[in-house]
Amino acid sequence: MARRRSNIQKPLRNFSFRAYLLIHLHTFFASLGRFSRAPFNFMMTVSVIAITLSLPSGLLVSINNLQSVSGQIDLNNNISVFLNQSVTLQRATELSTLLQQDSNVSQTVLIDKQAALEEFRQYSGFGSAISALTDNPLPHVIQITPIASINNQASLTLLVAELKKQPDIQLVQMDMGWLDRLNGILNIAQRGVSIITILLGFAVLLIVSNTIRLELQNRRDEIDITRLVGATRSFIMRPFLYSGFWYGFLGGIVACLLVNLSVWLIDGPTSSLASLYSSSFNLNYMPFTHAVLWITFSISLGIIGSWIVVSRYLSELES
Amino acid sequence: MLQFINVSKRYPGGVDALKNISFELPNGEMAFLTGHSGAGKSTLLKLIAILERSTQGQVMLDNQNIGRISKRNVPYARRKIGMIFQDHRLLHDHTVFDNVALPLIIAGLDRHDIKRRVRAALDKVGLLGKEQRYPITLSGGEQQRIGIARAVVNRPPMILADEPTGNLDPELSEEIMHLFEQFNQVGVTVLIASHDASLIQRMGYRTLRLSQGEMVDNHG
Repeated sequence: MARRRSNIQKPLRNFSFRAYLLIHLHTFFASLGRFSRAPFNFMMTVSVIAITLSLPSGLLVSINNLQSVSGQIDLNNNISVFLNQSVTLQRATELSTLLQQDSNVSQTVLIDKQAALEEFRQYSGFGSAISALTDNPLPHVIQITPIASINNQASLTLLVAELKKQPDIQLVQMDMGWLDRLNGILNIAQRGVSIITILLGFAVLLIVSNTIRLELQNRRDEIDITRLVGATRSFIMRPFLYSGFWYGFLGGIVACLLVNLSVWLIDGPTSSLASLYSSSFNLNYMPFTHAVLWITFSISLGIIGSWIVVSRYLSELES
Repeated sequence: MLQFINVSKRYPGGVDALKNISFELPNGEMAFLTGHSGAGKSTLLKLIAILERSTQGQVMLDNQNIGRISKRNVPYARRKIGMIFQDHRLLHDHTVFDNVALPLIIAGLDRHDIKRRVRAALDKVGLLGKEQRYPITLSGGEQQRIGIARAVVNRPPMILADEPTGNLDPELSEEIMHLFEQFNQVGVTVLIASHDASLIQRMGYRTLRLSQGEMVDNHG
């Protein structure tokens, strides 16, 4: 019997890391081979995952694009200073030069009310109505460009408050207001995308789980047989985890392709719209690092979804 | 090799499948397990395969109480037993070679060793040259031989066969039994569950007879 005993020990002694890698490699491709036998079902699941993930990733790309638009505008955050009607042109010029000397101001432009009226008459289409006016209703306006370093809200507000103290100034208007509101909306949208990502992440988890559950049922006999000849839990789980991996990997890649395809489709009309505003704005595609993160996220969901189902199934079987 | 000590198995609902069973199967012995259906044969085999756990008593395999080993160690204990089934339990979408190689792949042998051992096992059951066939293209007797090759390929110290000749005609049954005798002759412990009384009698080995969960006969 000693001879026989030594024989059973043999498999364990012969266990090699190389063989272990080969098993992995074999399972890796075997799981792909199984898909090739039912390509339609496989592609359907991959498509569902891809479409599900393309929603949050597409939204994120849109937000990033809007942010880059607002970033470009950020550079010219002008302040318009409306002077009192009674202020004379001479006084306005004095004031403009005075403001120019402020350390926070990089440039001032005086818009003379007579010139403004002329311009208005020319471009507004109310030419004859304006001619009927006896006096000019427009005030002088000084347009201030703050220095580039004064980007934060607090120092801008301080500058505005200082301006408002001047007796000759009627109204100070920051063109920044709408930009802040846009940024506020974008922040909310970003939070929204996080929530949608979590929800749809769960959806992907459920899709993978359900698909793997069907696969488990189809291969019930195979699992029983491998268990009977001494397969460990991890040996049985491995092919299913690889299936999960493939679903996640391909689903993630197709999602990124879908998003970039959409960007490409929208980019043309966007550029022509931007050119109407004499801007050379182009939409940004999904950054490579984001694509890698989305695919990693998708792979994790695939593996986790598969793991949950298979380990539950095996726990029920084990005595 | 195999020892049952006062083993009882009660299923949920109060059905006593086995009542106080004790017997010993020494190393290198061959024996039959018989009894009518419902006598507890299947339950006894399931306890050895660790598909069920005993309610009372000890099931010792190779000096290890397999009724009490952890789930993690169950697969390794199962590798000491080569199991053979009435319905063969083959993977029909895999070749004969892959079916027989399964226990070796699970044990993590390298490809070269697997090839050598599978060919040796197939040679022993007379199926050499049919490695690349699919089980479905072979006869019932040949399919059972694939199952036997798979059971012995990793050279377990014990073979457990559940109605291995249940679907075969007498002539083929005889051949299969002869195979088991050959394995027994090189030292493998063999336990065969069967209700083929005449075959058992002709073979003339020790017979364990179960009736309503009790061991009623245990002679050599």
